[in-house]
Amino acid sequence: MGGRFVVLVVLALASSAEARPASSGWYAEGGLGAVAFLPKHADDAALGPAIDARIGRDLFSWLSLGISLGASSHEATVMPPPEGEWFQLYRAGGDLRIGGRFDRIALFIEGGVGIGVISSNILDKVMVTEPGETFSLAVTAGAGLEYQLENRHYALGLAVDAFLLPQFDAIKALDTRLYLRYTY
Amino acid sequence: MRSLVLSLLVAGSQMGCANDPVYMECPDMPADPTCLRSIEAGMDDGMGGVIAEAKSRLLLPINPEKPEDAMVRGTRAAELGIEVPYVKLGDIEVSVEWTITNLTDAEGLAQVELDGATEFFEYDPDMIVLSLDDDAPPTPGLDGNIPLHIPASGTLSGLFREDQVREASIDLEQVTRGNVNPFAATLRVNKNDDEIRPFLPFDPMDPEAGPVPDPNAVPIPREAFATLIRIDLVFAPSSHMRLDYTVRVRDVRGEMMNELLMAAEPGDLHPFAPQPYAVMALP
Repeated sequence: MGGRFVVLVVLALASSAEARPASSGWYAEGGLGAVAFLPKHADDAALGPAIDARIGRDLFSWLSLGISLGASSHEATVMPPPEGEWFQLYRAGGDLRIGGRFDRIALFIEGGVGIGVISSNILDKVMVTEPGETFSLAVTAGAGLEYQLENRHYALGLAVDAFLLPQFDAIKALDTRLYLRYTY
Repeated sequence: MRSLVLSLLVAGSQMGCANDPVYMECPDMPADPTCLRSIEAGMDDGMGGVIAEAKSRLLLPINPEKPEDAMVRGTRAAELGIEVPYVKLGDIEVSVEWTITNLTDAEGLAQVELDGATEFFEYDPDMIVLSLDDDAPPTPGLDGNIPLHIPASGTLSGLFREDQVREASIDLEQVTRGNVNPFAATLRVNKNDDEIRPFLPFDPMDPEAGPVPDPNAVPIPREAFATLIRIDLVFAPSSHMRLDYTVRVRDVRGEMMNELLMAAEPGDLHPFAPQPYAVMALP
């Protein structure tokens, strides 16, 4: 039921009149935000700052393909020792975005797959990673909205993605970001 | 656009490779029974006494040396006229983080001493007796041994920083390959020294004699300084306490640490055999 509603909303938005002109085609995005881990590993790493970059292409007014890179830095909050140590989580992947625009607001949902890389083995201690394990598949899904600026090339966006890293004990996290989009 | 995509992918793949730290603690079933993740002391030994101290040591899981590297090292050793280590100072940066837990409901004191081994020698202060005088201070450890107040049922965390472990490595080299008095080596800051000028070996028949430079010894340049490849900790609390520790290593050279770390098979690691360094004053 929920899925059908989302599809209807997206189709409605996609077919609505575009009151504010916006470019379509190749685009690039850069964003800043934060990544927070979800239970059961929420206690093992703190909320950390994140940076995201994305390039892609609008195939239709309602569909685009992209690749993204993301990095976040977290303090490991495992039982000491060690204490006050940080690790970085890098993600790269491809994604598909479906959405539509209503006047100056665009809504979208997105999902993708890629890889996740962790910079250290500090989470071995809580069995998130195993010895020698650095890479994981990364599965991402989320949604967001964009505000089209008067310049047809630029838009500001807010997105929230949940991602899952199955090889890292299926750790889950939320990546929230504010971003600037430039469409060529 | 294709080159941009490739550049981004290459940059992304390189992000996690620049000597990021790895963390090690002794495994549940260690190959070396002296490698203990957690050690306790200060408790009743069951015979009316008290277990005064506990020890643990962790040998770093270092990859075997490549034949081509061994050849280069052998050539350099022949040029210098001294032994050049496989694991040199600066190849890895090591720090040790520890947490003491007071298992009693009374405040107490505890000391953590850092010792260890290079690939040439192991340093155990108990094996170095420079004087038979009962009032003579015991041979110092490489670092630590500062009395710390541990609150009742509380914990205290601390660490031996990378620069402290580097200093401890040079001190160990000075004592073992340079015949420097352990007190002089550990009390002086040597971490920026360019070389070690060896002294004549300690004369057990004349323990009070001062150090005499060895006129025939070749100075050991910094490029031939070995670094600690084994971390030894001595824990001495005044009451029943526990010490947990983690060794943090940054592989600066980039090929030293086995990717499986403490889970690696001993046969996949470099077979280090440091010699015990012992000096005993004789009556």
